[in-house]
Amino acid sequence: MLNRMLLLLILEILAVSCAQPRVSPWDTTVPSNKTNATAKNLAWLNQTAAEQSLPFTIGILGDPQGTPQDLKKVIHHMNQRDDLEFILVLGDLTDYGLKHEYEWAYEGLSNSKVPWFTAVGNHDALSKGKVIYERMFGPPNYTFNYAELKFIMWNNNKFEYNTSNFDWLQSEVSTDSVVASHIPPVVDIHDQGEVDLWTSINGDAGIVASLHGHRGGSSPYYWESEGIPYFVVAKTSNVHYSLATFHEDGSVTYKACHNGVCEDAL
Amino acid sequence: MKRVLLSLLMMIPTILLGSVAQGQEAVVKESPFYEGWAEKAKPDYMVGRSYGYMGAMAVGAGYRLWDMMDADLSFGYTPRSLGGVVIRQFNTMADFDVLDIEYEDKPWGTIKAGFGVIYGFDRDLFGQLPKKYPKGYYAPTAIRYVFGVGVEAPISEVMGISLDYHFLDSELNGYKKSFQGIDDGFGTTGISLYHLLH
Repeated sequence: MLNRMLLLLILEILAVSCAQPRVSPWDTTVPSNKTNATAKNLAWLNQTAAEQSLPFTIGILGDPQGTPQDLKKVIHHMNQRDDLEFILVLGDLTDYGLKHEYEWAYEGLSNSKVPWFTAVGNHDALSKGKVIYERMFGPPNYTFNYAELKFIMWNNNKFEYNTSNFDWLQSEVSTDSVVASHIPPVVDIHDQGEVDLWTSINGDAGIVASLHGHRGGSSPYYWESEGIPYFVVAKTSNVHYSLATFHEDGSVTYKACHNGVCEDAL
Repeated sequence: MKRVLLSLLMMIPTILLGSVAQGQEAVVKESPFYEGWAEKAKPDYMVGRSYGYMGAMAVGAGYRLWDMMDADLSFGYTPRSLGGVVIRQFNTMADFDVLDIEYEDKPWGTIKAGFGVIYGFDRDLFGQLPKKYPKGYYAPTAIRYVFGVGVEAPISEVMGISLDYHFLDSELNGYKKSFQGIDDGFGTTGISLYHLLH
C-alpha cells in the first residue's frame, strides 16, 4: 500500500509540474504576475513620453479568442517590426470568459516588445469573465494619451454590461480622439437609434478614427460616416492583424497583414 | 373461409384475457416492484474529488456499471479564498476501465478514461440563453464538458485513490483551432478518493 501511495504521489508531482492545478472552470483568481496589465502597460508607454510624436504606427488585432497560437504568431510578427509604438487588442480575448483562456491571451500578449492595451469584448464578459478581466487588465473603460492623440478604450458590450455608456463616450471624445471598442457602429447589438446617436457623437466631436473588432472576417473593412473613418480589424485566426498610421494632418492609413506580409488596406 | 376468420377473431379476446390472467397470476407470485428499492438504488461507492475542475472539494456517490465503468454525481464547492468567488457546481463523470495494471503478477491498479458534464450555479451563468440575446447567440455558460484520464489504485479493501488529468471542451476547442504544447497549460490535475459501500 505504501508503494502505491508513493508512486501516485510521484505521478501527482509529475502531472502538476506539467499541468497547472485548477479548481473549477469558473475560477476567477489571477496570478499576481498577471494582474493590472493596463496600468503596467501605461507606465511602460509613459517611459517613452519624451519621444512621442506624429506620425506614428500601431498594431491592431481583434478577436484572438480560441486561437492562442495564432495570437502568439501575430505578436511574433509584430515584434519583427521596429515601427510600432504599441498594440491595441480590440476585444474577445476569450470565447467563454474562462480563466484558462484569459491566461492564454495574457501569455501571448506578454511576449510583445511594445506596450499593449485591450478593449473588452462581449465574449470576455461571459461566465465570470468580467471579474477576471478587471483583475487581469483593469477597468473596462479607460483612456490614455500618446503623442497628441487621446485613445479612448470604450466598453460598448451592451448586452453583457446592460448598457453602452454613451454618456461616458460623449464626455471623453474630442477632435484629437481615437475611439477603440469591440462592437462597431452597425445595427447588430445596437439598434438604429443607438448607432445614429453614436455616430453623431463621433461626428460632432470630429474624432480622428474609430477602431473595432467583433465583425471582422479574414480581412478588415473600412467606411466613413459623417467624415469619420471607421475600421474593423480582421479576426486574429490564421495570423491576421492590421497596422494603423496616424499622420500629422489628422489622416489615418491602414495596412492589412497576414503571416507577416502587410499591404495597404484601402 | 368466413368461419375460419370468425374463429380467429373470437380467439383474440380469449388470448388477451388469458394473458391478463397469467399476468395477474405472475404479479401475485412476484414481490411488489418497490420492495427492496432502497437497497437496489443504494450507490456502489462514495466519491470525494479535489481540483481537476471538480471544485476544491466535491462529494458524491456513484454506481459501478457492467463491471467496466464508474458513473457518479458529485457536488463541488470552492470557497472564495481558492476560487476568487464562491463556486458551486454539480459534476457528473463516467470513467471507463481502459487497462488493468499488474505489479509482480498481482493487480495493482487501473488506467481509466472518461468524460463528464459540469454544471455551475451562479447568477452570471446560464443554462438557457437569456431572452435579451438573439436566438443561438451563445452556448450555455453554466455547462462545461470535461474529458480526462486517470490512474486508480486500491489503498485498502474498501478504498481507492485516483490521480486524474482533466481538460475542458473550451481547451479542446482552442487546441483544435491552433495547437499549443502542454507547457502552455493544457488541462489540470486532481485527486479522487473512492469508498465502496458494498
